[in-house]
Amino acid sequence: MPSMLQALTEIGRIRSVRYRLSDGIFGLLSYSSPNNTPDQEEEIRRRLTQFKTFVEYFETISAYQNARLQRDTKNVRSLEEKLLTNADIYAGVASIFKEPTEREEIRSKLSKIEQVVDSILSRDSPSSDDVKESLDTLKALRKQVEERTSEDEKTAERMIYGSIPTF
Amino acid sequence: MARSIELEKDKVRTELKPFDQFLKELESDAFKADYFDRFRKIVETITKAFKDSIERRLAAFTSGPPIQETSIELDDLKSMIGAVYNLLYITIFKNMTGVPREIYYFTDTFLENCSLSVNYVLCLGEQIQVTDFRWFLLSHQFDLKYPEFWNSVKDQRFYFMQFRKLADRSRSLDWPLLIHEMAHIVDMNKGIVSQTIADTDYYKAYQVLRHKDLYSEEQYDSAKKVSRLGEYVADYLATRYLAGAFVWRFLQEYLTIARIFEEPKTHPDLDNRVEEMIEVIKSELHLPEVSAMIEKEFLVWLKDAGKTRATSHQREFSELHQIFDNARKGILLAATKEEIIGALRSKLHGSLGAKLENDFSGVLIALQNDFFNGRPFVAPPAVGFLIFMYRGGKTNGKNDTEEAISAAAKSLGVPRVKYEELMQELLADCIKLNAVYERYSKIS
Repeated sequence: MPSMLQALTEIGRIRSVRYRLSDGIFGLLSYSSPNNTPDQEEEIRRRLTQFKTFVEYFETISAYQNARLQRDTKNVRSLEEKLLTNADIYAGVASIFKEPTEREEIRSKLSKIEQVVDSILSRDSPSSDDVKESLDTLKALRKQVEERTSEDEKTAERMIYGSIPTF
Repeated sequence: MARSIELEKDKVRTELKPFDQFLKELESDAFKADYFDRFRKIVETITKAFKDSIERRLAAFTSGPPIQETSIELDDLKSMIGAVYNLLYITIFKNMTGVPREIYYFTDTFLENCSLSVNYVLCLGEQIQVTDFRWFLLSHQFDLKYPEFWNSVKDQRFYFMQFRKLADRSRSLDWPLLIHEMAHIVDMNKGIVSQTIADTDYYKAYQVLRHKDLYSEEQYDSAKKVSRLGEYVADYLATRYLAGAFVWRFLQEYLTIARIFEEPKTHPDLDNRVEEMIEVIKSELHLPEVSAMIEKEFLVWLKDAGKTRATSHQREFSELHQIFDNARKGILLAATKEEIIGALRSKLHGSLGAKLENDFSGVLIALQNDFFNGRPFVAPPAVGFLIFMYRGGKTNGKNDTEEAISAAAKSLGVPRVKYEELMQELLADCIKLNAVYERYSKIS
């Protein structure tokens, strides 16, 4: 595989997960600011929507794994198509959180956060405890992602900017 | 608090300053060549897009969140801008100066023959590869993280091709390998594979191929197919353009280490590739002299690899027929025997010209002898390579071209290696002369 593409797909897989977690954190931290401009409001909604799409990946991955186990070809195909809407996110989630049990735990946590996000997007006010708990979870997850990927990310960057011979 | 955010935002703005310095550097006399000019255009576009969008992006950050969190966000933004700068300045610009101008003449002529005008540059790198700049931006999440910038540059087509070992005038015989890479650009721009296969996002295909265990066999095979079809198309275009010079150099120089460069998951089996190219030379270019030579080289390689040639070649993908049809429409002139004779006829006005119809082989041998005696030949690259490589296949351990080169070196009293380097420099000059001649012809 061309080394540049190899490095870029690596960067894509790592950052798509880290940045989507940041989307959630940014949205949850910013939505209640009293002086937001309409553009800022729109940006918050955009980021939260991106975060929701990301959360859906955990659910789709779970459904996809089941479909594969059950050899449900039709479902496998349609779920795969859905996952490949953003191949970076799928590769990122599935490779950073390799174990299905861990992914399931995260999925469950993210589903709770998604409810908080949904209520913000429908212009309701979630409880501050729920927002705080969501933020703590997302920050811990982002830290985990950073810890698990920082070496790979550095290696990919070195490949792009030229200090690693590639064969 | 607000003051701290402004400080953080200023740091992001500062990250844009090196782009101005970069543009100033590009304006210096040392970088006046047209390929720096096309590179300058992309740097200008990127710089303008950043400057036009940065305030809108920064305005998206409210004063609500704690400064530590905003700082993380702004650091991400800063690192994305820095990544673009590093790619353009370090990976590309700092590696552009070592590329001989003649290679641009070669690659430009190929793109012209494919009626394609795209912005691309050549630069030194450890591996032969071509990259779409948009892959870089997408992998760094510009579309989702900095949409104002992405929206203003997403339609920019800019490619950079990297290579190192071939970046020398004395390695011009291997330059056909670069045409294969350029052919990937043609495929991506003309949608040669995508006219037949619906989902041909090469970046996505590579992401799938890197994570086999994550996908069904069907999906993995589909990504492999997309990637391999892209390789077949690049082989096909390079062969149509250069009448076998690509497969010849591929067999000569790279076959033995091909698996180091090219993984089976992304690249087709070499036997299949060579068979396809031999078929094109035979049935589309009508150059049995060349296909016979390639077949000889191929058999030598097969023997060395402990393999035997399949009695009949089984095409790997049925779609190739349609895809090659698409590719054929994308290239103006192919190096058919008829075209080569036509090109030679327009140049040869003596006894050699008169012999062309009846003794094509004799004319090529005479031109080769002239060439090996240091006489340049202004003709399309396919003709130049054909003259150099003619009679190159080994027969009973004997290679007429090798012998001709050795004899010429001996008569000039030059070591053979040195002599061959000189001949390759002469070939590079011929490529340049032809490109200049073509441009002159168009103007006049």
